[in-house]
Amino acid sequence: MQENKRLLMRLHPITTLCYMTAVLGIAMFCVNPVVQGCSLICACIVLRMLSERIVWRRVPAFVLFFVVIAGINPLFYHNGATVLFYLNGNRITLEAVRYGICTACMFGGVFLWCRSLSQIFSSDRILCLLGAVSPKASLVCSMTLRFLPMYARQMEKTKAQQRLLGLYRENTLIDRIRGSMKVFAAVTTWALEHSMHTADSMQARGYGACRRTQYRRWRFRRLDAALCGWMLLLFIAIVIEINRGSVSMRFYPVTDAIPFGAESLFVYLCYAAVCLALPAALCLLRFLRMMRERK
Amino acid sequence: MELYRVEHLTFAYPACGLSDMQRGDSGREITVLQDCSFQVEEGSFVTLCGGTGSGKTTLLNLLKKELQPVGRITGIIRYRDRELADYAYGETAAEVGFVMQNPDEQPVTDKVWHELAFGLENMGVPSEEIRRRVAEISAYFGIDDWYEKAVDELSGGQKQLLNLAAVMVMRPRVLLLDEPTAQLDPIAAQNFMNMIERLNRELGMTILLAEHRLEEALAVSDRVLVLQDGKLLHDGTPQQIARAIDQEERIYMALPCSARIFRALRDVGEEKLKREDGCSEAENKTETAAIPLTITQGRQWLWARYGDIRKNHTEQSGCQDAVKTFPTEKEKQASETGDRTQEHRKTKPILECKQVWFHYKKACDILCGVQFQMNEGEIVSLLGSNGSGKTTFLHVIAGILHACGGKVRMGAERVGYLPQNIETLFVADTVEEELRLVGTGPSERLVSYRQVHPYDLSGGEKQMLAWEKVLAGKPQLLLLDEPTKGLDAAARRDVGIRLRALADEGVSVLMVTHDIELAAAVSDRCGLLFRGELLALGRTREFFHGNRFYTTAAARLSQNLFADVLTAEELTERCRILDGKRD
Repeated sequence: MQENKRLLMRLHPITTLCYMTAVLGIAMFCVNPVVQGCSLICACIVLRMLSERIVWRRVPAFVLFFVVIAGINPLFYHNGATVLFYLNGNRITLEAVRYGICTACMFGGVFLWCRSLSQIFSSDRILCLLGAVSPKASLVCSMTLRFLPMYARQMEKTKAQQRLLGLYRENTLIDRIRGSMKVFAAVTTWALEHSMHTADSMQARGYGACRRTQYRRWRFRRLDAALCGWMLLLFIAIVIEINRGSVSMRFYPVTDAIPFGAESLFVYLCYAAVCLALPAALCLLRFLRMMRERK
Repeated sequence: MELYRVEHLTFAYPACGLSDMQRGDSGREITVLQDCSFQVEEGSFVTLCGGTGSGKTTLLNLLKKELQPVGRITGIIRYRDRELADYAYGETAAEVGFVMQNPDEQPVTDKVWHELAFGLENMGVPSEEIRRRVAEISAYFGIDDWYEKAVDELSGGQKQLLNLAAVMVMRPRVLLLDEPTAQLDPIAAQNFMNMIERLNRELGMTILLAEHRLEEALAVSDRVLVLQDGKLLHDGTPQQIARAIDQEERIYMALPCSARIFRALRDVGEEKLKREDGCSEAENKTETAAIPLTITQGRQWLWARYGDIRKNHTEQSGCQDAVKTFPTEKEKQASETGDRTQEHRKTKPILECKQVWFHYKKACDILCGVQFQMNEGEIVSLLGSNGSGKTTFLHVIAGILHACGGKVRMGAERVGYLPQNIETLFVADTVEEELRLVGTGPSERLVSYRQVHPYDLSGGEKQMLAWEKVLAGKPQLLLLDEPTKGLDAAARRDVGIRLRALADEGVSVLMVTHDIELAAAVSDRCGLLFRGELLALGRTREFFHGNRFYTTAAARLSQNLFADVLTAEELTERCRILDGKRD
């Protein structure tokens, strides 16, 4: 929903980056069905929160993607103690199926996370983060983003115009290649010409006259600090626990039981808390706004 | 206080890499500016006018340290009592703001907010201060609504406003503007001019505006400089300039309609004065009266002069309608043109559009059942605001886009299309090769530029090359998209003459344009496109008489006074007849 997105856009890019690293990092490197399932469900929640409506048309494609990923592992990997059946003389084992489903959850989750995070991570946020590392690179990227659509449009226009003038008259491959080469060369000349004017415009506005500063559009607010601290704390705890092996599982030759000790439970809860940090922040923001409106 | 003082400024480009023909007399360099002297007072609004290639852009670039072109400068340019050459690079970057002609070329970054901050970032202003200044400027310019947008999504008018804001945010003392409205549609251009005027009035901003259209600029400026062929011809108040520009000069055509009519009538009066060596009261009155520069002033002047005649006329005949004088030469001609159109109606149609619908994928309809027919040898103009589907309609006819519904029946075998952006026509490295691609050689006017790259040609020559390239295919139907965009008044008149000549040869012309004066002067029929529908298609005269706002300056001037007037020439003619009657 636009409203939710606008509220989340208020967050500092650093916060968004922390969230993304924590959620994706753990989901990708921890092979555990509970963690994967948690990631998948939370990804669905966040996506629903950000998008206007559920696009049902996309659901079958997603399910197919899920099934294919889950199916690939048992088809090509034949280790495991429990044989379900033989396919073309190859063993299909229960362990491989379990591992496949777990991987599919992981891929599905990451896919959904990327879909939703790409909506929050607009180009200017990435550039802001990049600018913190290298302001020059950030400016170059920004200029490229300005230039590319313009270049594409000019290309399109020139192509249409030249077709009218009979450049692609013969519909053969060679003719098409020759025509495209010509258009490409012409548009590149145009681009060089254009960039000269851009250079003038930069000089006219004092580029290179003194040390550049970088305009930071976002403020690092208290909420950002709280979220970042919260996620960092949980992330460290989870990483320590994972290193101690409290949630690790062996799939082959016989799959272990899913770990459900106190420590593993702690990890699951922590991960859920990380994943739901953004929805929680959103709820908080909306709640605060509602309270302000009351007054 | 004096902001700029320019004394005996002469500037010459080095002439390397150009053909002999271009080099001129001296052989080694091309003189662009010759002995220009003027001052710019702080807080004044100065308009620098001149045709294409008169040296306006060079002069403006010379006034900005960071943009000074390579070449030989003689004479003195002083900025705030110090020679410009003594300033360090970047010292005046913020103080002297510059807005370029093409709204697409100035933006550097991809987002509106970043573009606004770009100049301040360069100056090393801290982030908190940038936040404040950017907020202030977007509030003043009213761009909060598109603050988050990508620069690419903006319209031309919005882009140019953004360019102005991005310069203003650096708090300049003087603004140099290089034909900022040349590439904009009339409404966006008016918007932009209003903003400049507001900056001058509310903030006391010093403004130096290079412009070849004087309709709007003359009325708001304090001083006008007229530049022609690198020489400063006139320097004075708008009144003085409107009086001083000679009818033979190129820039005369650019004067506002009311001023031209006033001049045409007065100059005749003066001649008479010389002949008779006497002085009647009426002529004396015109001599001392101020020259009308706006439509309002023009109307007041016309009413003062001819209002009584109208009154008498109404009393005599009792008719409430506007004065209709006996048919003039012009009207006879007009009726002849009308006959010609009738004649054409009998000939076969060259283009027929039946219920043409068009929309892009998933977008709303751009063309909604356009019904249109046109005959051989006809000139038809389609007017309409931005986004009314004008260009799309041309694209559908040209075959660049395919209609989603309805039929386009083309009677012509060869169709020429001149796009708005003429640079898309050029793909070769030299003018000669460019024309060889379409099977011709360069004409007389371009022969000296044979070996020059098309991008190195001046604006007028580029236009010339584009026309030659499009006409090389001997089109029977010519489609034109804004053929006068960015051209000065004299070049616009040339386009009109060229179009009439083509029509006489039997070429049919369909053009979409914002240029009402051109449409009124040359077309047989005109139509209005509005939200994808073609409305009010009719003979030019009928079309413009049906309109009150969307009509020529002369028609607006003479509303309720003379009926049936379209061009300045016609109005002058009418006035002369009335003057003659009075005598």
